[in-house]
Amino acid sequence: MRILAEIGVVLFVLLMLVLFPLAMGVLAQLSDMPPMLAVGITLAIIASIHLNRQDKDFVKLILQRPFLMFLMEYLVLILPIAGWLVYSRAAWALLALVVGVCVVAYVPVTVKFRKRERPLWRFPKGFTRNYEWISGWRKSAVWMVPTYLLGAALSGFTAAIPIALMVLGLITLDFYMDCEPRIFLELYSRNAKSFLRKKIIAHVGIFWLACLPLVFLFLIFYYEYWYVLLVVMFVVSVFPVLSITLKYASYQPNIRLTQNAFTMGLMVVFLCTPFTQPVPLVMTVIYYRRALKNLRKYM
Amino acid sequence: MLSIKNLHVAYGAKQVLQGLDFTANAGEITGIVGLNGSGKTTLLNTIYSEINPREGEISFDNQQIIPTSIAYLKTQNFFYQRITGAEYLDLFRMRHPNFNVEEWNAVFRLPLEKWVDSYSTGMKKKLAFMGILSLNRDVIILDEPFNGLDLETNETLKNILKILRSKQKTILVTSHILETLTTICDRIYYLNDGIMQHHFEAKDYHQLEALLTKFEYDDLDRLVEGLGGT
Repeated sequence: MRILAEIGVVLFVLLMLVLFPLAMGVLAQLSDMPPMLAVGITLAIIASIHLNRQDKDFVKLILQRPFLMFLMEYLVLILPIAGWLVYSRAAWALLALVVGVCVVAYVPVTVKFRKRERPLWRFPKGFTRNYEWISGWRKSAVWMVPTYLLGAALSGFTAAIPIALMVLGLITLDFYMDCEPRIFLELYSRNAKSFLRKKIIAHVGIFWLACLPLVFLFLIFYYEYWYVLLVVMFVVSVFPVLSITLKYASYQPNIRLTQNAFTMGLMVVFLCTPFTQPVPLVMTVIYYRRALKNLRKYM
Repeated sequence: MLSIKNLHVAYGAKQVLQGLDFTANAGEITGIVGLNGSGKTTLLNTIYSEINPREGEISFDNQQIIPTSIAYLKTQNFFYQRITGAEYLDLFRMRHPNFNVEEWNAVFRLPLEKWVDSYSTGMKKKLAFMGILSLNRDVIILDEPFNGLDLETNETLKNILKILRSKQKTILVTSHILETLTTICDRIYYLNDGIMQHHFEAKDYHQLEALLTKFEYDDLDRLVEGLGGT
């Protein structure tokens, strides 16, 4: 209900209109998939969630059998797949899924990476004004680098580079969830309009620059599909503009804008769904105006 | 001179500041004490224009105050994850290239090449203080600056504030540790019930101590006894 109140009824209805056909599409894809493959993918996702969760020690403190709590959570998560398996009469696959989830929930191991305390290399001094990118890149390099390399390595396939560009764009959305201290705004620029303009230009520029090698690779192999690249680059360029305007429309010093993650997700769905693309573009204009108004309070 | 007249601030129906008046002079360190929730941070945020007052006037040198004349150290400072101390200070150097990070860091001894995430509370406070120091502004506001600092840095901070005072800066400091204020402040205001209820010059600080200790409960002994034990 809180999320519904935040996004508003109109957006919620639009979301439902978009999500329903998407869910139908996913189900149609599933119906072609061998049940055991679907079970394997589901178990891999559940195992990844379980091995990475950092609350195991805490849960152990408050529950005698934490395994049961994890199991209940994962059983709820697999309900849609289990329902589909029942519908497909894939009894063995269903059994394998439930047994697999029981085993995963029982594993008491948490993957902990040794934390580095300093960067491998420093950005040039003038670049520090793009603090969202520095911080975001370092947090997400573990996903961004493989995506980038995979896109380049698989550039023999037509869809590889457009998909890599989309994924890279999606990863950068998280860069704009934290609100900097007010003094950063002032250090960046003296007025709201120039602040927003400079930031949007700089960040779209950085993204374009980073993607340039992939763009060239695509053009070398598939020059005839230049229009596909144009559409993809347009969509991924809207990502930072939308994220930045949305961030500053709801900016308050020193907070994390968790509520924006949902709105951003919604906008991405609109942007990638035929006939709904204008919605995020209109929203960008609206957020831009709100951002200017909001920033003027602080600058 | 920083001057505040008839300041009213409220969060919804809850009045926090109710007609507060006070002045802080240039070349002086002014302290503000008050119980938790008395409105110290609200007052500082209002001076820094982060909260709009319902009523009242805040001026500096007879002009309406603007945030760009203020350097404000908050109690809790925000740092982006995976940013090094050096990168944080680089941002301040963009506007103030004369700030010598290396020389100042010889005073505070921070591992600037490391992520700020790995710093202790006190180290983060020192880093944020270095940042606001580089701004070289006329009004310096420090909200609980001594929290988390080690003894040595406590003394260093006090000495820096004394030097800034001699440079005619207007300095406002809040603290829960009365002793840190009485040793450096030229006057201390007592904030209670949304107004500056008392103000004390250096010669009257013993009265302030008496005022604050009178809030201690007489029957603490009985309460502690009631906890039981072995």
